[in-house]
Amino acid sequence: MKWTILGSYHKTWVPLLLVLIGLAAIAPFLDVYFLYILTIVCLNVILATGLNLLSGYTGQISLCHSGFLGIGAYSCTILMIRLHLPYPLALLSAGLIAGCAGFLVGIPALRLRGLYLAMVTLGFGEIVHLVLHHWQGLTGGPLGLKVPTARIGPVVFKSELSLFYLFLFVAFIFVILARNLIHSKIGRAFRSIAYSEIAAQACGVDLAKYKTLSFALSAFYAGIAGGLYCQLLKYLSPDPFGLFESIQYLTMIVLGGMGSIIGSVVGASLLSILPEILRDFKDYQELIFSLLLMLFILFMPRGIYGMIRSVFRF
Amino acid sequence: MLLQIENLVKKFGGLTAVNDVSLSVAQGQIHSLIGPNGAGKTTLFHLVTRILKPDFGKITYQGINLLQASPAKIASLGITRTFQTIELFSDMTVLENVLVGYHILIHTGPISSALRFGGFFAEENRAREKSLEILRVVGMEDYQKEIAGSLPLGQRRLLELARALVIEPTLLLLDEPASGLNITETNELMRIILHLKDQRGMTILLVEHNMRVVMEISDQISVLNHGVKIAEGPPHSIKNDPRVIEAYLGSEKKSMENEYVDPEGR
Repeated sequence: MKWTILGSYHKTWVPLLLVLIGLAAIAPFLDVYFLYILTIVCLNVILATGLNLLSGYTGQISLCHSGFLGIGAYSCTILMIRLHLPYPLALLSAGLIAGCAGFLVGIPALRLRGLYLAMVTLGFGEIVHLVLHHWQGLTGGPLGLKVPTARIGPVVFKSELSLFYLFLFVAFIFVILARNLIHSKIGRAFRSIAYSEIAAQACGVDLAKYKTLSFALSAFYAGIAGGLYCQLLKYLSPDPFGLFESIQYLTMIVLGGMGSIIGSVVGASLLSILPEILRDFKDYQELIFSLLLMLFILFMPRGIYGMIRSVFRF
Repeated sequence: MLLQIENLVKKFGGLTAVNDVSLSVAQGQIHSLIGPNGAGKTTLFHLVTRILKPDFGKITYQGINLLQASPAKIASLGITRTFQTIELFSDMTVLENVLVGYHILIHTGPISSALRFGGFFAEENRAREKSLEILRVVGMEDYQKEIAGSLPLGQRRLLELARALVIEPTLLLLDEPASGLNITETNELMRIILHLKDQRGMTILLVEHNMRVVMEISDQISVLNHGVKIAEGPPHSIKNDPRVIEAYLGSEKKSMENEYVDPEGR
């Protein structure tokens, strides 16, 4: 059973590519509101996939992913305003800056587990939130920042449609990259840590290296998502980068399926669309999300995708 | 001597789990460690694999001071182990478990893994071939796609063995590999262990309670009791050693008075 480029891809590539082409084809005929929701779906898919690398595969909880998202969004915007970096470069730098932050948060994770790690990441997320609020010279504080419109060569990403295409393309690439990574030495090392640190170590997996790598990668994903998000927001304020958002991202992967790339896509899609359907009950949104999180952890710990898998046995 | 342990001491609070133990493991031998529960056998394994730090003593392996190596480095020095409690990656497939065992011999970084260049497929295929070969050695090649956690106990033990074997270690530490196995499985295990020694030239340090296994395959046996080495020698001399017989027969009463509790609950 040799592994080749085509052979290793057909299972994920083909369905994903079909979804991509299908969405790209119908996008011009959708109304603006629906397009906006689909764009948010793509954004959350990137974030949830990154979070799943860390929490689902490596087994390290994070309650600060909206913090990484915020770091990405602000870095991208500030680099474009202050240094006039072209958008692709600013976007990549946003990912890298968030990745460095992730690496730093990963260091205490070497000693902490479970609840204690949750507390540290929660604290970090709150610090980011506070810094965004109070470092007015850089972030504009609560007044916010106006985000310069992205352009790549001759293409200006101003219309909803162009932004959707950008988000869709990046989401597709990052899902494929995550999937590649999981089916490699790196992904296996991540998963081994989640199941048994002592055995992983006996196999020569360097816990310090792979835990911090997982944090950095996951934060890199969030940073890239942030760099995209600022384009959608057009006006940046610290509000969308709080604790509730972090819990929401965690809910996505728990709902979709921990330790599953497709699960991240399913969870991110459902939880991006759900709030729109439940718009009339906006006051109860946090309640519904928390309730979903509890119910899924109790009764469907492997999430929707995990359940489908075990029912159909594939 | 492949592995030399000198005056090793490990204390847990007031309890001395390993008390001034010296031990030499010769290349190419099956060296067994026996002793009643709580004698310090597993602690000794944890010390050699650097999961625990000794309070005193020296561990030398192929002339290298092992106490300066990090736990993750032990495998690349050619030392692998199995666990008494079976530590498998339970949601991963059989093949994937063995592939984690091959971790240190795969040389692709995160970027070449994500982008699949730089010989990724060549490395991955080499790892898979090697893993399948080892699964054949333990007779599990037909189960490669099964989820590890769904296997029965006997196969879980064999899978753990395969995972430790895949890098062809110089020194293999087996912590009660026969525990929970039936007679057929135990015989198969003994055949595999002898094959590893005779055909692959591995040195094996074995902790085992099943005396038939120990007496039939060991070249050398060391007996521990309450952290102290009380006897050492080939199987026939250990069998008749009065100190060993006393330790084992007297052990039930003693161990009730002085129950050993491992801080990690093993």
